[in-house]
Amino acid sequence: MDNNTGDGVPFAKIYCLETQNGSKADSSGTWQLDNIVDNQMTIQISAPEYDSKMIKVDSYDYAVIVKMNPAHIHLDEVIISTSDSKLQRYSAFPVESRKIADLNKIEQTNLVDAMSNIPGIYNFSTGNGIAKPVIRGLSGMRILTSQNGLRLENQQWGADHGFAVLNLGIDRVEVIKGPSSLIYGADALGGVIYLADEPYVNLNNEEIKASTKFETNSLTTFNKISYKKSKDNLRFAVYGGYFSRNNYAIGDNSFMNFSNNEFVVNSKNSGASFKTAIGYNKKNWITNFRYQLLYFQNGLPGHTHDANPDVSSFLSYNRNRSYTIPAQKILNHLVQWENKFYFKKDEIIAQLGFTSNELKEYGEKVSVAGIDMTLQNTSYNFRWKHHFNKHFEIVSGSQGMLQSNLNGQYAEEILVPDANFTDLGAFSLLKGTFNLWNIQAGARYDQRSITENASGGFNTTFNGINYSAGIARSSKKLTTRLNVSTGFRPPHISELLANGVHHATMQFLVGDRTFESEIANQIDFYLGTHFDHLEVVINPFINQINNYIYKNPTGQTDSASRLDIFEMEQTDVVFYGGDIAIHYHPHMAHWLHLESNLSLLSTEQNLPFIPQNRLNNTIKVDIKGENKLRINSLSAQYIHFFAQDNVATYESTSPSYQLINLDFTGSVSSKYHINYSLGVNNLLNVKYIDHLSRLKTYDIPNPGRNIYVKLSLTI
Amino acid sequence: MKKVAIFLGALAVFSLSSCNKCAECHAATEIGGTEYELEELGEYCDDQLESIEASGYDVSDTLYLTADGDSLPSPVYPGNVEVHCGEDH
Repeated sequence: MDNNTGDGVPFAKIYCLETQNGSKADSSGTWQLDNIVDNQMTIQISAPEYDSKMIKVDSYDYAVIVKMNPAHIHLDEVIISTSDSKLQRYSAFPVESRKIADLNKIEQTNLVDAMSNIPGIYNFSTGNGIAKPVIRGLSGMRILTSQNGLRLENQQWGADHGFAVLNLGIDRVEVIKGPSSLIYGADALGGVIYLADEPYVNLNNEEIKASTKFETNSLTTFNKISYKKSKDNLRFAVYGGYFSRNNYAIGDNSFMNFSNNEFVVNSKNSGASFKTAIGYNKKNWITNFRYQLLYFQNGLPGHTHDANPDVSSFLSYNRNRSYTIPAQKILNHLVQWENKFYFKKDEIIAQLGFTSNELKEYGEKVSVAGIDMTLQNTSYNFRWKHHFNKHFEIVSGSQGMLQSNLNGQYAEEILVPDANFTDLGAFSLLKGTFNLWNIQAGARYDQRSITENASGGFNTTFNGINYSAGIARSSKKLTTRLNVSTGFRPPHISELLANGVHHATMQFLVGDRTFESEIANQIDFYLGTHFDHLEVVINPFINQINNYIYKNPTGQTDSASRLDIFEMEQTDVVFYGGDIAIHYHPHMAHWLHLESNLSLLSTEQNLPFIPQNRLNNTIKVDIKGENKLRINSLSAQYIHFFAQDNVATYESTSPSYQLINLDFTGSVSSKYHINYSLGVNNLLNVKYIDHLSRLKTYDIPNPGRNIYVKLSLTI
Repeated sequence: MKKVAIFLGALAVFSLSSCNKCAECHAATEIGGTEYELEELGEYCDDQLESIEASGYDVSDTLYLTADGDSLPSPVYPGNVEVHCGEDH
């Protein structure tokens, strides 16, 4: 009910975190959940124009009345990646949770582009097919990706090995900014990307969703369909998706130019995925089984045989979709089985996972892969939570994985030798809640063994001890948080043993067997005000990393391959910066939202690929209409990327640039829910090269203007 | 059942696609770290594609020019050279 008026809140959404499905209130605000989990249920209640609420229910003998406060600004999502199950403002971790649909309010070409709307998050790209998330300047092996708790491994050490996740059936992304080894173990040095699947359909319902999107810039088609059904305590979901992109067109700084485009040769890419999830619960037990198959085929732009190449060697006035090399073919299988048990004061979660990543890179021959690696990862994740009383709880857990890398017998380039990796770690975290205060402190021990599968091969073990501590105070108007955390990352075998050509990146790499683990220490402070019509967030941080490994161009050329030689080196570095965000919602114009965020990052040392500072502004207008064909919202985005002069040796500086994006979204009133979006990215057709584009080495610009249209149907 | 049928029908449309592997090929050689195209060989598919990539191409006469008619930095004498297929130019 409305906390001010006492009236029922009609059609509020009721969602149970444990079963991942829920119910909907009727027109009087009354709701009922028939699928009960013994001992404990965490219920999230949300409704337009109200602040989301989260309650724990441990007895079902009486009716629950939830009082909701009217609110005009909604920036709070639930957090599950940190084992909190809390709304974001109450977490003592530096974590940000956002709905993919909100990040895609103005449609983006891929998932990492969408995530880049979060302050401090960037896209390290190779064209529009290969994208890698960057958190506060760190990416690749320093970022851990988890999908519903399953750790994803896809040879992410390679600059051209992209984020192997498709925007299919994903509801939300949670980003932990900074070292997070306490909960996630080795490699979570720069942060964690946690992807949470869409919930199952509401109890005793079924649903079909289909969507199609077309983009003009690379003639992209992206089609998705899903079917969900829930009956009593059994529920399942099936998803299918397919996309295809041609070579993308670069901008030419001409607003009126709608033809005569230049295209980036071999930037085409395509992919498909099938995904399913089945959930069941009985008494205090919940189980979920998930499987996903992903296939990607990425052309690798920036390749030429010209004796004296310039940018024209990589561009063409023609394009076609036919498969050309050099290219990557990636086949991923993701399997996860999760079991949760709820007791009066205890909660146990046990997850078993298996991932297989088959990566083939075709450099010179269509029929023989130059690089052919299969990375298989079997992992477990065990977590036990005990509630001492209403103030204190303890979370303890253990994670481990067995990983193997195997090169195909015909592979011409061995970048990473056949090797096995074993991870084992355990942690304990104490949490306290006192009125407005939330505190947490914990420690963890990890061990990673690397064994090269060759007689006399590399064989060593790395150890890591990590901690995290945080305190947060959250009142109705103000949230303050201070968090200190550490992370560690043992050197990857490619950094230890590399000594050869990586054809796709056109580099000759030289590693070092004596490297030690990278160790990060971060201090993060957060101050957020939550007024009725204004939200202001200030979030500075400093992250010191010892033994930071980086690729240093030597200025020399390998005589055989004629490629530039890059040596791996270690040094101590300091990253510092912060985010400032404002969300203003004028009282006299409740239909207007003004959002602005500034991402700042500096390093004490000159390092390659440090993101440009960024100012991201969005104006959104909500429109209420009664017509059959409705426009629901109009959005305009202006992004200013500041010049980047802090560059490594031999790295070029990047000038500032600005992008304008527009979108309008609407719906069609009919028996079924039909929604549409129409918009444009890079409205002014700006010709620019982002500092985090790997193609900047060849002066290849990023994509120019892109007009898109998207239709979705829910039955 | 109606919704299941709609879903399966749509999924079948998504997944129906043909896949035969064909590519344009050319004989090539590398001189001083730069690749030169010696002769266009046309389109090859499936087993024939694999075969020509594996066996290479036999040059019978000394070549002084590339396939485009440009001068080579040094002549290519009779013998077996690489065949490269499927590159986007």
